[in-house]
Amino acid sequence: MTSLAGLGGPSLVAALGFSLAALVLCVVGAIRNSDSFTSAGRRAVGMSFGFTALAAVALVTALFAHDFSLEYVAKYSSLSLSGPYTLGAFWGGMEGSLLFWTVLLTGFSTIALERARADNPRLIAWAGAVLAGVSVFFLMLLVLPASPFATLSPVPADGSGLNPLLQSPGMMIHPPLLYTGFVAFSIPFAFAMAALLSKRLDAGWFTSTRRWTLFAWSALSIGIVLGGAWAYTELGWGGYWAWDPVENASFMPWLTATAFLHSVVIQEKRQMLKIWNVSLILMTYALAIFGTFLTRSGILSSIHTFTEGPIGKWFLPFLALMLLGGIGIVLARLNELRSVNRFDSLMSRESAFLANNVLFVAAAFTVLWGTVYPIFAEVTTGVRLSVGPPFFNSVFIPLGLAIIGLTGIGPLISWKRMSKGAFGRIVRVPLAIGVVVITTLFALGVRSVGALIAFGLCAFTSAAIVSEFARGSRVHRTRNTVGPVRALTMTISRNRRRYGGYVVHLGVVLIVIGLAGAAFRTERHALLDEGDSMQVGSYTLTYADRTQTTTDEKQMNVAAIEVSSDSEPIGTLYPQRNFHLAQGQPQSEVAIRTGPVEDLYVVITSFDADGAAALRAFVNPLTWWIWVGAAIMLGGMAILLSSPSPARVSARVRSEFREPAAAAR
Amino acid sequence: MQETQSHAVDPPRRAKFWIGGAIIVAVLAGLILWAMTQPGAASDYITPTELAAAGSVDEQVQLAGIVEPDSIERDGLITTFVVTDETIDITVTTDAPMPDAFQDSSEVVAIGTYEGDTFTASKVLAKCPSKFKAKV
Repeated sequence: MTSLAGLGGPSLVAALGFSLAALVLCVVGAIRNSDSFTSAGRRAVGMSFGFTALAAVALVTALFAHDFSLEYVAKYSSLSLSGPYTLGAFWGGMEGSLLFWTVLLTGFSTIALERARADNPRLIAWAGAVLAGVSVFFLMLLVLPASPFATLSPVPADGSGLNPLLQSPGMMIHPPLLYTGFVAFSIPFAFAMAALLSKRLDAGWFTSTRRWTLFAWSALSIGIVLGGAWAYTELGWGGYWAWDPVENASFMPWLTATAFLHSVVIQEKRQMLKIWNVSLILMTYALAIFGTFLTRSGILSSIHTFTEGPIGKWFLPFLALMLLGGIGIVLARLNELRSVNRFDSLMSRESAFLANNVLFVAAAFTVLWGTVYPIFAEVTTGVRLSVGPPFFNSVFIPLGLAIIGLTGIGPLISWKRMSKGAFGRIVRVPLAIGVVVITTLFALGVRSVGALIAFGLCAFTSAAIVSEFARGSRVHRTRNTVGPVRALTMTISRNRRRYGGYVVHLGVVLIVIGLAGAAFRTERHALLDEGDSMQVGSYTLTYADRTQTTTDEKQMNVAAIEVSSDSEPIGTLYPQRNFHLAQGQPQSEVAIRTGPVEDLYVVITSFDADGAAALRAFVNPLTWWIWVGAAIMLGGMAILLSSPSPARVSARVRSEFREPAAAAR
Repeated sequence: MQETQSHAVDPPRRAKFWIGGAIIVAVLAGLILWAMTQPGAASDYITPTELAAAGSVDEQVQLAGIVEPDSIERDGLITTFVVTDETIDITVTTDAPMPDAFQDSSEVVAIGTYEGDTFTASKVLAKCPSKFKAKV
């Protein structure tokens, strides 16, 4: 064993000790309102981070040193595994990914507590206590049932290697991003709980953690999209989302977090929905923990493997404690959480935001239902079953379409109240554009009702968003007499929160267009001898030949598939069917010809004994727009994250002056 | 409990709030229950023994078991193999593309119907013979 790897276990014990100390110090600091206790607690959180990071360095070093005396290294890496994927093995298995989680948690906690406003010591003390409490749990897992530093004897000569499916660039970024998202929600969660515990229930807790929330949400969003991209390019079934429980695990907190991002705006502007907001962040964090647990416990395949799994029985009590504690403290503060204002009219921005929240929470509940229903069914009736895509699609298509429509309407409505006439004037043009798109598509022969509605709503919403940009730019053009491009950049940079949000919306609309394209997917499956052809959509695919090569890692079979469209040759695709030697497993590598109109997606599912290739080909219309939409979303997130945080003074003014003034109305 | 004027919620408003909330919950519950009855929304896992006892099933089920070693036969796009639970063997035939992890002794789930001693699968899922944990 390398000497550094020997340090791993003791460092985790030390980190656990410091987290426990931080918990006690912060609680005492909060109760006594003592700065010296709180800052000692804060330093203990920093020390806990230092030791957790040391353990992570020890594990990564052991992976690169191929120290197979560690069970984890032997299980998830091998001598032939290439460099970047050796790093990927750090989060490829359960123990390593929990360590990764904990490094992020203690690191984020240290930064957030360091940067928190010093004029609010109690809030910081309680936030420190909550964060330390969470890290105590994860460090206990790492010290007791899930140690990444467990040793093997005798030491194997080589490891069993990383699952070939996980050896892809997408898998290098996707899990760390999801974990980053999950973990970063710890910060707004901790500050929300701290606000409840310290009775500082103004907007302070979420304005001071707004960047963390946005950062967490952005990381989760991009992580989810990359997961879809990985599934699309690696798994070879032609799709990107299967409503697999592991996918659902990341999607549920995303849905409630999206609701939260919207509803805090109402609290900020109108001092309403305080209970709702703390509940949403509690739900989001509980779902993030639940997601980590689902991914890492084996509960997915069956309830039985779950109880056999090493960490399942630790997670449930922790989750229960968190939920009961969170709900308890919300109930205890119900009176302080009452709204100052109330809804004035159904035709108001507040109502639109509220409807958005109802839809997102309903969506999250649906996913939760579909994900845990098999577990309930098995526990209560003993019947093992699975809930499949038809369930999720049936609920999500109507909910998703309602959300897209609302994305268009919401920003057009003014706060408090809007007259029907004014609303009519402002939606007239986008609505007309939506109707034109539906009519045109119908005339072109599109008969799928769902797709017609989807494309119509996407057109409506894009038009509404563009009209918002146009309106903003017009003001700048007339006031500052600048050109249209300059006016647009001024519009965005002067109000980044608003227009950054609209850019994200535009990205979402493009993603929905891409998803709706799935309604027109075609698929063919054929067995081709060399020289044979098959048809899919407007394409003719000809299996020209096969090339075989062998490397240390795998035996490669590359097929050359000549593609022509309307008897015009347009190129050659090279799908592969490889055999990974370390794992003794075959794996297909997909070949995709991608474009804005449609993707041609080709995968070899097997070669038979005399060299004939079983070819599976898909035409996936509009899938390209999903990735473009995600890139635009990323741009919007960058604009949002670059917006200045609400100034300290203005936050104080809001909480001290506006609230009583509003209360006296 | 002290309430300032703006805190007070007058009874008709509160009633409206509850009625609105109840409608939303009812619509969502209806949507979920309806979706659960869609074909393929929720399907039972069934073992070869249970399937043999049932004789034939007309609705789609998920047959779960282990691939009997040396039972896999391929003829063009048609794959035939035996799924076993160590007690009863069921012959499965399918023209679906087989997953990469499908091999002797894999854990499989064959989705399809059973009639006249043959299980006709429209889709086959497989898990490697527990060599490593795959996130698939």
